[in-house]
Amino acid sequence: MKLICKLNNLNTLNELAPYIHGVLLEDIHQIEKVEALGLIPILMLDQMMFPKEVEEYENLILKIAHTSCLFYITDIGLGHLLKKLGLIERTIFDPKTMITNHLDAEIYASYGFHALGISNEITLKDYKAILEKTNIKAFYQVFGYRLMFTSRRKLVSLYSEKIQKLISLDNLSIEEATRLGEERYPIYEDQYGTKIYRNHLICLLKEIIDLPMEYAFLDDMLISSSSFKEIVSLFYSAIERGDISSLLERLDKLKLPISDGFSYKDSVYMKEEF
Amino acid sequence: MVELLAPAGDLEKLKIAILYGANAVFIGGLRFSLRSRASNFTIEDIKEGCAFAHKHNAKVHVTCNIVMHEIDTEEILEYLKELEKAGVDAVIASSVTILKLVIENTTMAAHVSTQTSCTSQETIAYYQELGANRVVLARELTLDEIAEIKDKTNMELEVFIHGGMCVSYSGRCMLSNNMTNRDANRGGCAHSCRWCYNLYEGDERINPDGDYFAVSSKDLCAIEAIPRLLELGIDSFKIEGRMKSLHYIATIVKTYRTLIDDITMGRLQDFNIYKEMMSKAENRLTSTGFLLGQPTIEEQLYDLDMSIPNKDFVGIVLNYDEETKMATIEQRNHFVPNSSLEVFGPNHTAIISITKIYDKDHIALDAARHPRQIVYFYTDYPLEKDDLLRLN
Repeated sequence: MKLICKLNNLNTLNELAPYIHGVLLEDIHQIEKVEALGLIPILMLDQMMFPKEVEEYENLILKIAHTSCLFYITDIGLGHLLKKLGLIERTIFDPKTMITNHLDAEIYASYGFHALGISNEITLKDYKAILEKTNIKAFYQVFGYRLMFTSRRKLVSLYSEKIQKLISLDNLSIEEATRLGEERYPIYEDQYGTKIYRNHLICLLKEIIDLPMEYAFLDDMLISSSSFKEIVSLFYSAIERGDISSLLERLDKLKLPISDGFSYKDSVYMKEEF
Repeated sequence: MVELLAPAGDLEKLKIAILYGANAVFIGGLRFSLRSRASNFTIEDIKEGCAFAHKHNAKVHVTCNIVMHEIDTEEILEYLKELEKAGVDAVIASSVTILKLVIENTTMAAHVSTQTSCTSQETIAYYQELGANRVVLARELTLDEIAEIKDKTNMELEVFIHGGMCVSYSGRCMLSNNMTNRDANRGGCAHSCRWCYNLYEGDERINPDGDYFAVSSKDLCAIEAIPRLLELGIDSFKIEGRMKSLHYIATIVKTYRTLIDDITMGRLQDFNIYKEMMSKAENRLTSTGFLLGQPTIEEQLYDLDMSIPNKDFVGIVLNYDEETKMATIEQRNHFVPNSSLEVFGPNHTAIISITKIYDKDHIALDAARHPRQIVYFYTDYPLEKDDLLRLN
């Protein structure tokens, strides 16, 4: 199992390097730095690709094909492009919601992907069943805020225009006004559109030993550098030592807003209505 | 010729959609379908629906577009075989497993659901290599992007032209699941995107009192885009809404049928005429979505109560006796004697006046007030079975 981090604060990279195996990057100029530290650079191409962007993506990919970097994608169209370019075996395909059973996982694996992102919407029991029934290498988020909504629309900018008030795109969150109470969901907007995240962190520290996976992914979004260093250290220790009781005490001290997500709770299918 | 593809939540809607001009309908079976609250079809219903459709030279597509969890994977092939036996023409799916099973084990066409968010020619190429016959394009594409894709593929393309819009990339939204534990990707969407939100910068609420931050989109209405889409040679125009009413389906289908036929025959009228036809059905506010470019605030739905209800649909004609001039009507909304009604049929429209309404014992009624009550009135205008009646 390899620990992979996405770091919004790359200044912490040198300190974290002894505990992690790779880094998810948005900037191709960081690839060399990551390689120099002996880590696996993974370039995040996690946008949907539109017709006019195909050539642009192709040029970008070819420009860095000579490096050791892996490619992290969420759009099967990019997968097709990477296959044409002979790079499918360096590609991690994570369609977020789509890989929820072993049959689909096997078909995607047979396409040649290096690893597959398993859906966050299934239980850990289902997750394990998929891994037991296939030989896939899994990529799975074990710490951080999980994405739950992606839109091509620039929703914050549109609302800013609607209320005729300038809104900074930093540090925004939304709260459902009439039903759910004071739960805040982080919301981000960039050139590609809008993303909304869960209001609680996922943290699979106590489960990590029993979860088969190639890449355990940790995201530092909205986590202080000091807390994130501690988190990485905890996961590293859990994998190295296997004994997590003292680690859980250290985790509690961080007082992070953690919830299990769908780890133990299957979502409602509403089968009874059939 | 382009296929006009309509939704149908039950057999009656399926028949009406076809009679009012749809070349194909899409329906959900009792299993593996994404609209768990739609009144889905049994295999027997599907069989009857296919027989009716084929008799009228129309096709039936069945949605099997859930994202299957481990527990859902059992018996899928048996189910697909049952659909094939029932006469289904195509299966719409997002799971690569379901698509492959359809391709390799049945004679049905495999259509790639919009849940896969197909946004480029590369995505289409992936599904073409898998063996799929058609791709339903993502609703995030502009007309120019659709044109570019069309130029670079020979795959059959289906484009949404009317109905509800997911504001998230379809199939990638977990709002409902995270907020209510109802999984949109398994048919349980709670439409959390249509709720009211406060927007915060740090701890400060930004939105003014009562002016909520909304992520919801207006519904799609592609009337203005139809000429270009026809010109591009798109294979199928899709109307969304398996949970919509019979009157809605008849009205929307007939409007687009008229528009497509008018363009094809070189007699296109002012777009407002088609919009007026459409406005007689209950509708939420509409926009052109992404078709004419990146959405502006005009495409967003900020006042979430701004739907346009319509109770004008009063009944459906079951029979008309040309000798006695008596019409037999199934009531759908309250109406009274001495009313002016619009007759809205697959092939004709007219305005009629009715003076008296009778029950089955020929007793005059002061109103037709009971849902699905069978009532009678006299009219010289020759009504046809399945004509719809609405208040004029």
